[in-house]
Amino acid sequence: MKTSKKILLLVVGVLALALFAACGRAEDPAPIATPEPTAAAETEAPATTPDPVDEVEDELDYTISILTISHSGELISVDHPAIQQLEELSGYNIELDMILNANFAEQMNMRLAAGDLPGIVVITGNTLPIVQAAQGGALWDLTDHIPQWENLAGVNPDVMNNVSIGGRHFGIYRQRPVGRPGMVYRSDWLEYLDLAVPATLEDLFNVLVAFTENDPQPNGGNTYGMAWTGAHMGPFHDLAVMHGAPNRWEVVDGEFVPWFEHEGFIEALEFSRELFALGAINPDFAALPPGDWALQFGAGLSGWHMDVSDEARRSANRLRDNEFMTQEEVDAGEMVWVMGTVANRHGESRIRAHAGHAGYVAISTTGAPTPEDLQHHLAFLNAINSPQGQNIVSWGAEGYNWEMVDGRVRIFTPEEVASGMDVVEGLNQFMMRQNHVLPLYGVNSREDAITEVQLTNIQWAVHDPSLALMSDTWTAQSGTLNQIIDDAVILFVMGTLDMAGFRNEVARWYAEGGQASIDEFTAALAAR
Amino acid sequence: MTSASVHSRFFRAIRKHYVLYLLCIPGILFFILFRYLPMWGILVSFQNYNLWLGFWESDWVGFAHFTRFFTGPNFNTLMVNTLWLSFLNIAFAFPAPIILALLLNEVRRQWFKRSIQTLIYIPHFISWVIIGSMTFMLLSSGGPVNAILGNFGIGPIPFLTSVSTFRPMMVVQGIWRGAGFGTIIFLAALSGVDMEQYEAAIVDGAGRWKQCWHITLPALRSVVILLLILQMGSVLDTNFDQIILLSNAGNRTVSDVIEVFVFREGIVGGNFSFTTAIGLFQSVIGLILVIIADRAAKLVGESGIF
Repeated sequence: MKTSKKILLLVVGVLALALFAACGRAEDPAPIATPEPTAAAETEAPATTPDPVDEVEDELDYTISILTISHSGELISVDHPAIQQLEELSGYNIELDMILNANFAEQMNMRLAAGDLPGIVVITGNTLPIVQAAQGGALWDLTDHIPQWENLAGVNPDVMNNVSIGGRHFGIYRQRPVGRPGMVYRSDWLEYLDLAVPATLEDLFNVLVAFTENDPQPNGGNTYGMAWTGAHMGPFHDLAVMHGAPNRWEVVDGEFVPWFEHEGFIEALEFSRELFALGAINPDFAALPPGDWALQFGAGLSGWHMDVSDEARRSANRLRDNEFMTQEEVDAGEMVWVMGTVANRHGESRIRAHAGHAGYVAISTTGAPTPEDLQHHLAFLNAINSPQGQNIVSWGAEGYNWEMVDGRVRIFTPEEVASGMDVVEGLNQFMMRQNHVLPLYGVNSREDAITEVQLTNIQWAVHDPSLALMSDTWTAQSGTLNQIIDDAVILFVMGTLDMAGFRNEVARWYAEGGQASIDEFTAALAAR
Repeated sequence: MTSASVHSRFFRAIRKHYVLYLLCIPGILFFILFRYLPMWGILVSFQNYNLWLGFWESDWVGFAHFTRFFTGPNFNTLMVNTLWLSFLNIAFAFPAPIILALLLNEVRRQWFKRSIQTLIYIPHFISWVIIGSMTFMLLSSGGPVNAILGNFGIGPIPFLTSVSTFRPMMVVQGIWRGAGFGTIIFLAALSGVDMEQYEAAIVDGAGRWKQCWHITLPALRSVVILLLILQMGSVLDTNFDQIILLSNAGNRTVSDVIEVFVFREGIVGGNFSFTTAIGLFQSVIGLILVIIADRAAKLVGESGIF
């Protein structure tokens, strides 16, 4: 009896301990990677490092912690030569704290609430909690510091405005191409039908109809022009901007005017409605699951795809997987090509510009409490944005992951990379500026075309003027408001709504927060 | 009896059976830490909760978030759509596993009954994303269903983008995925029925129908009522995954429900107080309905849940 009671007590004790241990783990996420100087010294390959590692270790007495994103869950080791090179370049120890992309926003909010942020923080967007935290003093205001650092001073002011909060800059943007939109198409279908690459919207219309009526897929069946999905109306908004409509908002005499009031938008509506009636847009696009959207082009069903220019690469791979293309054709850059835009009836070329960033990299006041800490962190950001730093975070360690050939970066093949030395993605998640990133060596002509489209697009880019401004109503209700317009567009294109019905939905948009957003944006612009 | 003696008896009971009480501690801690303490969180629905300022520093706004929700332009539509789906769910999806369990119960060949059971469980393990894609393939304008209807000169019917077909599709999807798995609990209740009752009924000359009516169904009654009461608690909850995949511009007027609205305005916009207020409203309505259903069950002589 006595022993069984003791065993019972033991069981209870273990259970209680397990519960506490579980709680402790949930509330106190330990940094995933911590630097171990001795281990680093042991595994460092001596041949390519000019300085003895021990000496370098002595200089590194200040540690910079970085909260960043991992897409794969495979973490880069702090012993990796790329990290070592960044440490040598900046003169600081590096500690990485990585969170899976799927959980990042949620974890970020929790860490923010707990006041538990490291010095360098990747911010993916100005959500309401981030805005409140920044204005409450969670992040250092870098507006006056940025111009004082060599590699930070030349940042693009437009993109900086797009990530600003109330006109103040709380970080350096994570650069993305402003001219990223692009139209991917089947050049072999154009050849087969003896059609030229469209130069105007009218040409584009005719090509889409020809792709539908003449079924140019050599060994396939029924084809059509281009696929849409009701869950993501990007292609329509691209078309509207091409027709002359603004990118979301237009500022007329200091007043914000929404995009659907422009005649270009109405022209795009009629253009799309006609295409739909002719079968050139997939009949069930309103209900097509967003995940199946790009697959339509990849399965040889449609011949035109309006999305981002780099979709050309993935589209070619999908067509290869579906046996419409051989690997040789993929490598040779045949059959699938990409272009930026076509001219509208006024002869203008226009592109719906992207915001130019994927959030920004900020310095937190909890991880860097004093002004001296701030200077250390700024020095670190300055080093990462140097030409050498940018190429390390982009491509990995020179000599381990890539080498320079003709001023371009030749990435080592998997066989050439020593085991465990391949660059684990995630390093580039805290990359900021990309103005010194070297181009790739030995890529096919399609890759060069993608780069060229993104560069030429910049001159035609139409920017969204609201990105640099704040409207509380818009922040809270843009989801519902955008959906009213997108739904009305879908129903008009399908022929369910007529123009009067469309105007009714627009009236609902104004009544349910649209007018309030206009007033707030206009006031915010006037306050500038 | 004085309160002191009650206390001393309570403590004597603890001293006597302290090992049993120790055994309870992990469970009690679990409920306090993860079920009761988080309930303080509902207070943020009366605040303008700011993550950075935290709970103690955020502004109190009273019922502002509730007012915004109740007076919002979407409130009536959201409520009507949500209640419609819940009603159809209780009317059709709830009885489906009961009927299925009764049918399975009548199957005499064990191997056949077990294979059927296994087969009808399978849809439960298919994710809504896959079911959404399957529905699209089957019902799209060029899909097999419309092809068959076309042979009879009907259609094509735009099932996926019509207002009138949305609710039937929701119900059919729900039954297809959930009915088989739902039979488990009813079959378990049926396995507890004493076989002698059936034998006695056969001796008395009762046929299959009479056996079912007088023995099988009464055996299921308390389980059915219990589940029905619990179902009342989630009358304002809908299956977000299922709806978000099936709703689109064509059926938005009937497919916009509270949870989709919460996702659009609250989660995406990071407006925690507003979504907490809506969640609290849903829970309060659920609680009221559970209590009413429980009292009603007791009125007709059932045991209820409290």
